[in-house]
Amino acid sequence: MPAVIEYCLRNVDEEIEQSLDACHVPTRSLACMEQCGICYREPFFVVDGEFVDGSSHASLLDEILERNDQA
Amino acid sequence: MNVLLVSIDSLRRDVLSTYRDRPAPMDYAVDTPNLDHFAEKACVFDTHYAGSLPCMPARREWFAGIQEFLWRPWGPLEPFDQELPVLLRESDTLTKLITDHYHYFQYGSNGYYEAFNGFDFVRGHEYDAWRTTPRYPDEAVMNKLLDKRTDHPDSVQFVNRVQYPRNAAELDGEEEFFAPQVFSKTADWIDENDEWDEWFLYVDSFDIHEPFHVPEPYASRYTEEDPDDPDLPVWPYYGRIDEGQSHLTDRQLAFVQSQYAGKATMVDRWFGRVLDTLDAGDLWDETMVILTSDHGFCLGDHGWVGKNHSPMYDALANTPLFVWHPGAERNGERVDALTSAVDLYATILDAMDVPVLDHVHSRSLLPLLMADTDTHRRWALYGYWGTSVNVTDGEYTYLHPCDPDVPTYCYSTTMMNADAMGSFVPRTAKDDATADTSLPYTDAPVWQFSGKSHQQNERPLLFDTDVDPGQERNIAGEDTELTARMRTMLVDAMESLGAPAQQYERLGLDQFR
Repeated sequence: MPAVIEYCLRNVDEEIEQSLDACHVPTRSLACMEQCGICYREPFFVVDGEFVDGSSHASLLDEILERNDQA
Repeated sequence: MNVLLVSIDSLRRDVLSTYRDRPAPMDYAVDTPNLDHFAEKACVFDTHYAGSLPCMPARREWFAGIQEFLWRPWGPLEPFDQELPVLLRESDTLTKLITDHYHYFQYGSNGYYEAFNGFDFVRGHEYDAWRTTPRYPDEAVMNKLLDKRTDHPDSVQFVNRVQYPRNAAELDGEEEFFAPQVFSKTADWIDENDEWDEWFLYVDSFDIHEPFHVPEPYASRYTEEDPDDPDLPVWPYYGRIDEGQSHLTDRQLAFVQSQYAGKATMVDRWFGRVLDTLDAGDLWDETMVILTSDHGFCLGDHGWVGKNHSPMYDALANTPLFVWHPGAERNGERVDALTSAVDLYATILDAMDVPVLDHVHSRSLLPLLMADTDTHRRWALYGYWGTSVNVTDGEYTYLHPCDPDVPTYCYSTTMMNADAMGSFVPRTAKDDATADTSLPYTDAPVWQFSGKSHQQNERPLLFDTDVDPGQERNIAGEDTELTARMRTMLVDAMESLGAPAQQYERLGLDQFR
């Protein structure tokens, strides 16, 4: 199980924030993750310090949680 | 009268022996003989606090005397600001800016350098959009500074860490690093401008700010490690040291501390050149010299590295201030009266006999310096826009959290990106903006639009800094009477500044008005 999923408040919308709040993995929101160039361009999370990006937050979160369930 | 204002970015005050024998998170002292020498000569302020944070909000306080964080985040000077260099020029004072602080010239800032008679901009620090070659900087240097998964040399994204190794690729020798250039230019400018009757010279050194990339002998001054070891970072991400992107091992944290300390020693050496120039020109009798910083930098304090995310501990907010004034009674003494960063604006104007407008939040420190009074202000407010609002009376610090689910609002003549930490990407139009005329310090209408609140602390934090300077023991839950008193002080301070009504809602303070 990931220790923590970090996300930038600027990078997520309210719906994704609610999904993050509801998931069973610890999450931490930060007002800026110093990834502004990527943040401006695409969805991303940082999982246990590892950067992950993708086409949507929802699909990224599904992947993270699926990997977690398989582990 | 001349005024020399020097800011050394991210300078923790406990680095300076004037304030503490060694920085709180470290077991060794940092060598800063020139800053120590100046402190002995000047008036040392023991209870000086930052106001609006981080970098540019602090500078708007110095430039315009406005505690902006209750209204807006990092952004430009506003058309209604009574800018320090403009007012000084209007009083026939020559104004000059020397800096490597690239934020003045980047997205999110506007209007800070234009009013000076002259400015020097030393290029290349941190993300300064300067060099585009080498396309592929030295592999070992990149490994030390960045992660190619997020900051790849093939990417043209904004805020790419590869910018720094490109900018620094041709640095050859200590004198070509940033603080050495800034302070050398400062010394040269003072030396060359002796024909002017009155000048205001503002020197804004981006060092000690990260990346903590320093040449020898400083890189090895405070560590036995190999400074080129790619496992040892010089550009830590801000956040908790025990998890996530900002995680640091004990060894890595010790190395970051050593490079910060090395950079402080390098800055000190070159600041000494400025002192030498003032000595050589016999300028002390006609020059006021102010040395301060915008904020500190957590080096493991309370489990944090950097700034922005942690509660506003004194490691960040309790900043250094030394002031030499040729006519001051208190040169060579210490002042324990509570003072605030915003007060520098009125102090400089006062020293130059320029009237200070009533609507600003700044109060001159000259009466303290002249020993006309022992007290200055009852409270000092400080913080970032969109998160906690903090207050001190000089003894207690009270850090009041916000409700992250209640939005915050930005008030500006521009549709600035409403991000508490600064915004280094193109602006986006604010579809929800409405016109507002509620600002207490201007009759001009501004845009009002919403932004997200976020928490630096989830519950109130109250510290007795006299008995607990490390702020280890939160007494907010223990002493309800004291907590109520500090909360009342916070409300009084916000009301006296005319803070927006929405602030009280997001801070849960409506019931205490």
